Amino acid sequence: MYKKLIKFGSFGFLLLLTNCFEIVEEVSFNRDGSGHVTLSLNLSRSKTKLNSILRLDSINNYEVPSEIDIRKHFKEITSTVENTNGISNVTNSLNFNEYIFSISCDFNDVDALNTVISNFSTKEEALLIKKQKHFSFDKTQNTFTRNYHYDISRAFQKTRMEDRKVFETASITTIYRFETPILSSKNSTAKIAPSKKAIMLRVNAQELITNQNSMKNQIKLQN
Amino acid sequence: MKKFILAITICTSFIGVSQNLENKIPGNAKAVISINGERLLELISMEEFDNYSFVQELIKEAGRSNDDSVIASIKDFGFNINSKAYYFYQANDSIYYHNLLIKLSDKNKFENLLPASSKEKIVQKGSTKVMNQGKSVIIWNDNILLLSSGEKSRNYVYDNEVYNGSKEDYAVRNSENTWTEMHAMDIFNGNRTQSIATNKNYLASKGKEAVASAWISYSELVNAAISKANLMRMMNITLLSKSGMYGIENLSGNLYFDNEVARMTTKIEISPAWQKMFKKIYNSKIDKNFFNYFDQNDVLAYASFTVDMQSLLEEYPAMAGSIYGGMAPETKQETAVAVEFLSLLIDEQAISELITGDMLFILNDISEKEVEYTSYEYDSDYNRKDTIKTKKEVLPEFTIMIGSKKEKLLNKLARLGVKHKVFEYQNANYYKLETNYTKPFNLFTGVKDDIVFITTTEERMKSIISNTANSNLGKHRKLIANNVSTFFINGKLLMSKLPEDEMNRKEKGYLNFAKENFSDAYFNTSKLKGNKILSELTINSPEKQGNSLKFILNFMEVLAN
Repeated sequence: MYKKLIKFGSFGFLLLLTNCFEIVEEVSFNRDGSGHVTLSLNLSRSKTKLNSILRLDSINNYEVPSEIDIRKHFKEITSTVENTNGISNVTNSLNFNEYIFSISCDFNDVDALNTVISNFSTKEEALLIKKQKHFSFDKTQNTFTRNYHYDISRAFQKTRMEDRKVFETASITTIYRFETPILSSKNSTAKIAPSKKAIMLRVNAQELITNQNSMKNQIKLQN
Repeated sequence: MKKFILAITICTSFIGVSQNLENKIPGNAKAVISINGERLLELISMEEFDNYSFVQELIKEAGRSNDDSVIASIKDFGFNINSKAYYFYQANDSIYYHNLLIKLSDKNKFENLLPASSKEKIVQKGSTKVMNQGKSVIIWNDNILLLSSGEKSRNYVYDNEVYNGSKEDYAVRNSENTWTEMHAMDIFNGNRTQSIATNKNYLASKGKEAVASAWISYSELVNAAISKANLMRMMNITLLSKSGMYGIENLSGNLYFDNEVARMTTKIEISPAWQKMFKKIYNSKIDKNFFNYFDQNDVLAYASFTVDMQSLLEEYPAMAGSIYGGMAPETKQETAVAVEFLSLLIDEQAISELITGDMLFILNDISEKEVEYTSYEYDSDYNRKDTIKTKKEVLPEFTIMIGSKKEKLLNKLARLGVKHKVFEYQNANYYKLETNYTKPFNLFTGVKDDIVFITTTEERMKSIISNTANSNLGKHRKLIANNVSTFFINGKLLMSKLPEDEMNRKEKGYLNFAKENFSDAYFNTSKLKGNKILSELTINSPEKQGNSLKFILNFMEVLAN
């Protein structure tokens, strides 16, 4: 989902201009597989730079979007999410003082989240997502799986050298909450809360790029 | 062929003095650039020059185009290193020519540079050889080489109704080739009644010790460019030619490399019709009060500018009328009425009291500041909580001074600003601008001694208001006082302040070279002296690189690697 955000025009642009950003994906699951998701993009650490850049017309051969462009873009994203089956209560927030942007919604089941991602993908990618679902919940095994089909390392190789600095201090965090206690997690760097009801995985962009770590995980819950 | 032309162009840097060559340049040339190879060789030896990687690359490229000979040095290109080389541009209604004139030391070596496919096109005509490559023609004998490249003006073609289809297109191109060859042959054989060497203005523009000199007959060149852009029939060219676009007649420049200084001087000649206006507008001296707030120890860079605002406003209608009237003669009357109305509406004197036309921008420092940002903390159940963190950031500190004699009005404006929450009053005759408008800087403003000050630090603002600001100008007093504009950079100091953490390895390399070898640079533009405006760009570098030419070539080498 976060990679999709990078692709979204003006937001992707904002990311390229920061030397630090933080993405947080938070999902709270109900017992029936429905839940609530929040995705946040925090560029606050680079706000001085962004304040200056957003006054320019272009930089590094990229056209600089205006606040109006960004708001328009965000509205489009929100409306695509709203029009997805199984998604409801979509809310968003745009904080141009701190450069923190977030979107959240309720979902009937995790497949609705996969559809949201597909809606922002090319046809080929949508097919890949069908085969390799980003979110899946196996009710018989009581197992939640976070996956994706992107090869982040390869995608990184395709970026321009001068744009790579962006990823030096960036980080991505996922937090998943369940009503039933967590038994185990496959990604050894993920931390299970003492209450066993939440799990957090924080990965630096550098670890992702060098394939040292991944956002993928399989979380087994108590039956 | 492109590579070959490039090779010739670069090699022209090493070609020597020859009165003969200059005599061959026709008097109707609109622009002439000369490169003094002899002076260049005093500054750098051929062997040293050959060792630069970009020269090595060029030598390698030249070697690729032929199999028979070994090319190991620029010397092997066959050009006479000890002479001057010339580029000149000609333009008339029908055709434009770019020409290169170079002395040869060894024509066989030069011929070896030519690719085999091109050699087939060489035609011997008496003691001269000609290679017609379509748009470009090369003619040479034992001593001299001329490369001429022609392009037909499309206007001319349309006007003569030649350009009507593919057949005619061929005819155009064919005649282009023939014309270019005939034209080149005329130059080569000196079949010209007058040479540029009889043009006093051109001769006076050349600097004796210059490594390179350029002379441009600006008004004629602009006319040719306008004609090329197919604007000719829309505009009254005679009118433009008379006054010259923006009043400029001729432009010239010289490039010098001394031991510790690289200098580029330029001279702009103003046409008689415009001299009076220029004299009035650029006759002001910056208000001496500005000097009370200039401390050379608190300066990384600055830009000063002075213009007589009242004269500018008074003369502008006439200037605009001349420019726009000339560009659109059919609406000349309307333009004249419009500019007169404009003149009626504005009160030149009142405006010039509000903005006198004096300005000084000073970059005082680049310093680290603590900046707050929002991040997250998580409790034991990974519930997210916003938290304020701090980090260090590099921000410029600057001061802007703008001349104004309307202190009362400005203070009223500032109080209005306080009322509408744009300014905060700081209790000591200065104001802080609301941070939301000025982030990431804090900006303070106040009026004193007929100057509006805007600065990023409260300490500087306080010292200005309380008469405790240091005044220490050194060499800058003359630079600022005697010129219409001056830009100055204390390169060494500025670069020592740049944060290396933000740079990659390559950028750090450039920075380190520049830090060690670059001391300061300035660019200043004079008032109108007679009919001339003179400007000079000066780059100072310590002697450790040998001389300023080597410094620049070494820097290019660092950038290339």
